Amino acid sequence: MIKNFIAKAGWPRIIIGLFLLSLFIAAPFVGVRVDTSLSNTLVRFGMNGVMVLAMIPMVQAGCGLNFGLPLGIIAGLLGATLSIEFNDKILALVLECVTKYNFAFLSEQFVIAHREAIGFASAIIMAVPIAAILGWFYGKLLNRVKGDEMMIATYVGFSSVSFMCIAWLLLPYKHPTMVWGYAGQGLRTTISVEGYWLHVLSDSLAINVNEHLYIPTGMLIFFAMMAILVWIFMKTKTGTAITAVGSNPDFARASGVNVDKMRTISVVLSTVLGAIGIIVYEQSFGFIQLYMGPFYMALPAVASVLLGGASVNKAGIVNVIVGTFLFQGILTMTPSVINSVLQTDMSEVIRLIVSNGMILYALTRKVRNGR
Amino acid sequence: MRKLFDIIAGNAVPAIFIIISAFAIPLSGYSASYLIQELLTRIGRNSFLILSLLIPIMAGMGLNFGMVLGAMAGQIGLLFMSDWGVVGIPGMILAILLGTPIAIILGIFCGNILNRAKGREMVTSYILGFFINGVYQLFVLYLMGWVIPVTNPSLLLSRGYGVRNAVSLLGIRGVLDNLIPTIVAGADRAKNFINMQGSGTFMALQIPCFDGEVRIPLATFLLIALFCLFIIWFRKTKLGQDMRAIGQDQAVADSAGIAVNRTRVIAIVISTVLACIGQVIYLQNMGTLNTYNSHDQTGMFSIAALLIGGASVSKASITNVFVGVILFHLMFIVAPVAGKNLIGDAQIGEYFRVFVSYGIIALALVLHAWKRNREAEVSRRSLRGNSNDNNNREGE
Amino acid sequence: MFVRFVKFLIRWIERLVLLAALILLGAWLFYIGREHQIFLDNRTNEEFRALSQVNVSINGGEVSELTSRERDMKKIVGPKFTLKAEIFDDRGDITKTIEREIKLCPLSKDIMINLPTLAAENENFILAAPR
Repeated sequence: MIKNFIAKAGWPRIIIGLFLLSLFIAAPFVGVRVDTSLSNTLVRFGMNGVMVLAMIPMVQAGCGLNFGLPLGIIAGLLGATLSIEFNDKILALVLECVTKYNFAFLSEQFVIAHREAIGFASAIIMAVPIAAILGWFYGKLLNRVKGDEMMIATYVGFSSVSFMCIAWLLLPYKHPTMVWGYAGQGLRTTISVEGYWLHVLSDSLAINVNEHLYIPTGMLIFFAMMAILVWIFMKTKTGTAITAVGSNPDFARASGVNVDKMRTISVVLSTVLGAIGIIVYEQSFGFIQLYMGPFYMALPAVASVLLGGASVNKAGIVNVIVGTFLFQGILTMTPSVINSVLQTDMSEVIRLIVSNGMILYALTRKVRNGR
Repeated sequence: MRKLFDIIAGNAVPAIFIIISAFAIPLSGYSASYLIQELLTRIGRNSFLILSLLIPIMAGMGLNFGMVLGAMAGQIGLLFMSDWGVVGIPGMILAILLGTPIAIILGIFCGNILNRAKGREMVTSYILGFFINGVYQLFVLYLMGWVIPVTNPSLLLSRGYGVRNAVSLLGIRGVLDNLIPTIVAGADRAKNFINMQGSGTFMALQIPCFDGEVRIPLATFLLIALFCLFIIWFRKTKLGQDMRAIGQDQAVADSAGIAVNRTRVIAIVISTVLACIGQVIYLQNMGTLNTYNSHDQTGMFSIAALLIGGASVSKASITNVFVGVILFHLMFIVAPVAGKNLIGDAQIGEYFRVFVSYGIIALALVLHAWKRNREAEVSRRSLRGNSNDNNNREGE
Repeated sequence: MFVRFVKFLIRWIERLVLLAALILLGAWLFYIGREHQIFLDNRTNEEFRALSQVNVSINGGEVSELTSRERDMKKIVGPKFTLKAEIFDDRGDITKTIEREIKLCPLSKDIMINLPTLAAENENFILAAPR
């Protein structure tokens, strides 16, 4: 029974899980509040969940771990900055539609009251097509380099981030809260979303149990929705075809599945999820981080899904949930607990070792079914 | 037709860079002697690191992103050296001597990991670099001065343990570069130089109608030349031949009785040790060690330079190294200034060169994988066409 | 069987010798390449009075002039150095010139030389370096 559980969960998860548990147990003794830590973990879980979810389609299609997540993140950043740039125009447009067509339940006051939600939705609506287009090209590229996807994805991510560094300087954004004050052009490195869509998801339906325990219900529901959508998608005909391609491409081809098309779909989906994921992240974090900000964002997401028990060619929703919770839990707990014990901040080093150790473990594991 | 395609694909990258430089050099407005001086310095500084990448490529293990492991080993050697206050050439050799066992251990570790991840060597060695970076930070930031004795308090952070972010290497700064002072200059400057040197070994070359001066790190160049000879010799040894056989086809090499895994580990160990020496040479030129950043970009810049020189993931020569180091660093020097003169923003040139470094690696990886997949496709088609036997077996 | 054992033994002995040689090389480099700070001290101690002026040059380098109660610091590389001291009296005439080679202990780092003691030709002129 215990043996079975260990075999199912795998040693790394048990060790990390016990480590996290011991941190939670130790917390009250070193003066760290468990409920604060728990609520921090939940917030970070909601922030990062969708980006970790973005790993599933590509892993299932046999494209390996999506180290090219920054590409999706860039689409999200474009959507986010555009939504702020055109915030007034979008609101005016929505108001115009409401007055013109006179929806029964959509009054003008309702629109004004929910302008933040509209801004957030517009960011996602603008980011998704950009992500889809970028993802399509990215998918086509990855189809030509089968077998080397992960390394190339890494460098596609890096080069797109550094390319966008130039673009952020040159794109004709005008909104005063976003561009450098003295030059009048070129976006700032961090842009606050306060007054636009700060905490729109986190604070909706949020539960404040007491002053220390806060549950960002809206964000968690959003994550759950995305997870269910991905789950349903993976159960559809296309989804099962994607899984078939991932587990045995030759067999899939023989049974009439268009391998390249399925792979492209999975990459597009992954990129779109990355774009949505970063917008969810930003609404909670409060800032849009441009330039080198998205550079290393793929690594925590990859490490999370692997920590949750995924392998290089198999990942599911459960892996995402377990992995994100464990990974973010450790990120939250180590600084507070270890710091109060050792009086130093070792969290960065622990993060480096745990996340990369996890990825290494997954990469060196003998993969079953011959791939 | 195929051949033409191959020639273009093989040399497209250097050609693009020559064109970019041809535009950027006049835009930067630098003088020839300044550019040559900078280039010579950078060739001396970086070549050794880039050369360390050649042996794993020969063994079919791709670009060794794990060379940062060697760089970290070298830095640990340098830290101990500067803690003990050993300076000059003895200091440099001592740092290498201290770094080498660490590099060997890390190399064996890296080689064994890569043997467990065949076909994914590059991404694995890349992540391994991050992982060992974490261990390195743990060692340098927490253990040094706490578990490992450090006698020199100026090396440590004010809290009493952990090494400072910037460590001065003044004691070995330029010792190798200036071991045999060498100058190429106009008559006046050359005379000045000769007077300054007094007795001792030095070289001065006078060029009549030239008023600049270019200092040449001769000893470093000699060391690099020696190392090139080593690589040429190494290719011909039994071990080198084995590595090439493994690079061609692991299965064939295995059936020919070559200990594939062992040889691969040796290739990585050699590369790691050389990267360790390379990092010491690099830092003796720089004169300061950024404890937590110096090794970070070593791997990326070295790999980018090698690829810009026309190398691919499976094939790299000494020529590629030198063409690459010249073209890459030419761009490195001129891009920020050219960007500033062109658009009025130095930051753009800065970002441009970062973009080019990453973009070029991406491009080279894509070209290589693409070519390999095309060849696999061609060979599979020819198999299908020729033997029905094979098809039947697949049907069963 | 025996031959194989001997071969095995020889291989290990070779390795150990190589290792020992490398360690010795390291020790030697440490010995010859170490940088030492030499503090020159011209202050009165229990036995000897400060000199009114002394000019010191180490390894034939730049001369530093120390009047009474002054200190200076020089850097040298390696385990030994030559020290040349010209000792002046109150009227500014050279009364004595000392030239000698000083060896450092292999493990010592920085030292201080008390010049009045040196001038009196007492051998206890090497003191611990100030912190």
